[in-house]
Amino acid sequence: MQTRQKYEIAVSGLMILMCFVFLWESWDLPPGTFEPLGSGPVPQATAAIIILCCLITINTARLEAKKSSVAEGTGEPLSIGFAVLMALATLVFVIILHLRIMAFAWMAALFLTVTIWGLENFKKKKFLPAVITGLIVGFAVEYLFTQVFVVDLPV
Amino acid sequence: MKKLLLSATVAMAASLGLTAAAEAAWPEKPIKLVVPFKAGGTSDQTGRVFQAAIKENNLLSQPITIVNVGGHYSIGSRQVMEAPADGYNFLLIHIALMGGEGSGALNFGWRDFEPVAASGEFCLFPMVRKDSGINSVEELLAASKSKPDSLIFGANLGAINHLAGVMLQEVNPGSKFRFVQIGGGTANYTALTGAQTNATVLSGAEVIKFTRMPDGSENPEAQIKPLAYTGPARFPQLNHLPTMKELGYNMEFCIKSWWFAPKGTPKEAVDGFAAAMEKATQTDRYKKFLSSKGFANVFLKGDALQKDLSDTWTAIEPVAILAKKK
Amino acid sequence: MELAALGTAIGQIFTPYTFLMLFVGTSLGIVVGAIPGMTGAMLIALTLPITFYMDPFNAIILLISMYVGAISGGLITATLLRMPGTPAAVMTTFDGYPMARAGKPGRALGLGITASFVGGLVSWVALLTITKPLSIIATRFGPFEYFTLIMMAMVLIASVSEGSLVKGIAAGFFGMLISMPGVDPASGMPRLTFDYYLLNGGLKLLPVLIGVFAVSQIINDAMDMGRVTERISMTSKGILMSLKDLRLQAVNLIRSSVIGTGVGILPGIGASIGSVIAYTVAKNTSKTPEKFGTGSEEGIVASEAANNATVGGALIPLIAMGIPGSVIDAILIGALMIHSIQPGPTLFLTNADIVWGMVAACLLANILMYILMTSSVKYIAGLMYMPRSFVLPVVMVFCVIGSFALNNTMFDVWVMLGFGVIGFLLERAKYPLGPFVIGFVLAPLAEEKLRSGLMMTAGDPSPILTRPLPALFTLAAIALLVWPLYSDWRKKRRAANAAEPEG
Repeated sequence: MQTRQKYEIAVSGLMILMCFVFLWESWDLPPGTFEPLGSGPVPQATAAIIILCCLITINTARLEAKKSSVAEGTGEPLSIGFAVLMALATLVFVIILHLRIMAFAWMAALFLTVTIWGLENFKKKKFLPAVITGLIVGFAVEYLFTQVFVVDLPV
Repeated sequence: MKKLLLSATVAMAASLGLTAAAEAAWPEKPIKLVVPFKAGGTSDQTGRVFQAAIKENNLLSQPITIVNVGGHYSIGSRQVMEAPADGYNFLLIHIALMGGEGSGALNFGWRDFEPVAASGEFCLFPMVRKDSGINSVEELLAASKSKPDSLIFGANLGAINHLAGVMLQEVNPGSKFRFVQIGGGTANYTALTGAQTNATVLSGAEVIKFTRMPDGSENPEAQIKPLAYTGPARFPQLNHLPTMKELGYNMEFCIKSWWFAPKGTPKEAVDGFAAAMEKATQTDRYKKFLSSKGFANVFLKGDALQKDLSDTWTAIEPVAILAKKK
Repeated sequence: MELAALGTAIGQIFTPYTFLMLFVGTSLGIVVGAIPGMTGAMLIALTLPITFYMDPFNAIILLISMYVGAISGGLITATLLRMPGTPAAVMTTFDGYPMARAGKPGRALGLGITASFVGGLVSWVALLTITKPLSIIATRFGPFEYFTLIMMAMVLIASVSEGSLVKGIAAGFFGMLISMPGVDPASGMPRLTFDYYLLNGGLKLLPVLIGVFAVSQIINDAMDMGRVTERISMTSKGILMSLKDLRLQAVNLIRSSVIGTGVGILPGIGASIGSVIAYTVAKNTSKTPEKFGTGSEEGIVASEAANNATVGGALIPLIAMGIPGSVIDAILIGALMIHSIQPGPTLFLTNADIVWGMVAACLLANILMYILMTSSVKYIAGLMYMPRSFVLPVVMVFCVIGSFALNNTMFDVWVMLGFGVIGFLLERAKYPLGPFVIGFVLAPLAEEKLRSGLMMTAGDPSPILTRPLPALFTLAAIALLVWPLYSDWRKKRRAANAAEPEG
């Protein structure tokens, strides 16, 4: 089975799941007072259409997968490591921002240093440029968004 | 004994300089004003006019920072309700807070806040098409009574113009509009001009914009007309229109900006903020803003504000409940 | 009257600050368009938070010039790297890259730039002349007209986006569903909030957009970090098209521009589709169709004229009806609404200055684009090689702060991250993102119109089929839905017949 079809089945499945969550939440909405529909039916109909389309997609993907059971090599090597680094660093960044325990400029600088250096494979000679970029962008962005535009950032 | 303990505590606190210092020094850091609407709207503009007027005239020793919290107005309102009552959190809102509580859309309301002030007032005009054959509020209400639930009233359901419409039909028992979701002033102007609806309400500024030429004369292309004014006195630029009261209907429907603080905010902060605002209402910047919006320069604080709020609630709660029922 | 208003708007743009906006917008647009992995939609979504603090006129000038710049900048990367800098430049890679490889990069770029310029001008004329009459017609649109028009637009975009029709529809309706928590557009009461008060305001467009277009793209780009690109040495020889060239390409230029404009006007679909259709038509009518795909001049001209022409075309329904002509226009609607400006038939009345600002910006950005691109394409081309390891993290910081700045709540930041993941997954599974975003933007309008229509008729839905325009839109939507299924079925049958000739 190819990667695309695996994704198709998994993502369609997730969408169906979300639709059921929405259907559940919309079930006891009151009927309309000014027109016959009310708040519930439109989301319910929308969810039903999505579920139908996703089921068709899953079915098509399974048929296709059966037809070409030989796994094809993917086009080019993907660097999953970089994506994971990016995702994890962003998550930590946002959590720190949420807790408001650090000035924005410093945490942006830290985030940038780690990710830039990481995307450069932690090469020694790239460390300094990463730090410098991090500090400049971090402080510039904080200045821009707290002084020029009044945003409620932790400083 | 209890009294003794209390005074001992007070004395101790005073000796530690806790309350005394806090009171004397307010404000000692920037004041956060939450506007629970997106930037650029009328409420936001109101907040910013006060911010600028207070700053320009040094009415407070610290600046006011405006934080727009968009989305539904309940989000920003709740943020202020739950914010520390330290005298540095304020909320700018209007009658929607009562409408939401009355209809059950919100599970909190104006009584969960410390009222600070009410400012700048605008009232509404019932509108119909020029070719509708309706020339007065009386005829409009008669038409909605003879054929109930057939005259289409454009509104933003649950919002100000809907509440005003319900209040309007309630002054004439038996009258019944068919309320239809259209939206705000501009959308209702379009729908009424396009003959998709039969009636709506618009604010003074909107009536001027949509039916008058820049020099104040009547715009011959306008296809809609106002019938009366829901304010306590006639609207200056549309002086020929009577108020609802003059016509003998017990209806006044006006919207003010309300300023609240979290429950338990020190009196010094509430009074200090209201006093600075009151002075700001006398500045040219503020007056110019009011006239551009067609607002009246009303300002209430203290007991007058309390009374106005509870009077408004008495009037609006039953309307909000009715509005939800159709 | 009209021209006077336009003149005023042009004059206003030539004030220092506003002109700076035009300049910054156009050049940033070109640069971002030229950097693979960054799209115009992403740039505009990330710029939105900054525009909160500008006055609406300047904000809209900035955004429109970014739109024009980004659509044009894509051709540089398409020609020199065979990577479309923006999705709209895909067709340009087919002929631009071979021509550049054959030693004529300057000429390939020159053809593309001039074609872009002409396309922009032709569609601008349409924008100037059609918008107002259309907006007057649109004031007569009732709720059912709007509802059916939106549904037709949804089917249209689903049927032309990449991947199957079924997936397009699933993605579009998924976008619609995601927009539904929060205040019910027709009754004003909160719904689908899972008893979580922050959901009372629903999921807002900006964090969703930044997530879907920027964050998911960053994750994708990070996965692609290993890929090395081949450099083509750049000369600007032949960057200006000669009069003879112009004469030779005149028919093609005009035809492709008109096609682009027309596709732009159709709600929901934009630059990519316009250039595909114009390219196909050019190939089918060409005297030398065999050269297409190997460095045909006509191919470059057709693709670039059409994709720039969609910009002006797509603004027409946005201004006249409040319905986005493309994905970027959906973002522009969001930008206008942030400034409390409601696009639609009354925009001429309530914010005429904004309308004329948009029209003027469309023209001036196009001219500025031509000047900038012809004079400095060499330097812009150098930017394509900017190390991504530096670009991606910086863009991510802007994603975070941009979402936060919208309402000063962390909730929006989490929404943005969530939709980054959702956008990434949808793309991996080849669910198109275009319908998703258009669905997200249009669903509240569609539902409000449907239900207010039902309020007017006391619950009778029959005007959908009995009034002329709604009936027309409904029939068109059904035809768009059924036709691909029918042709698919016919193809399969034919294939089956061919496989078993004796059966």
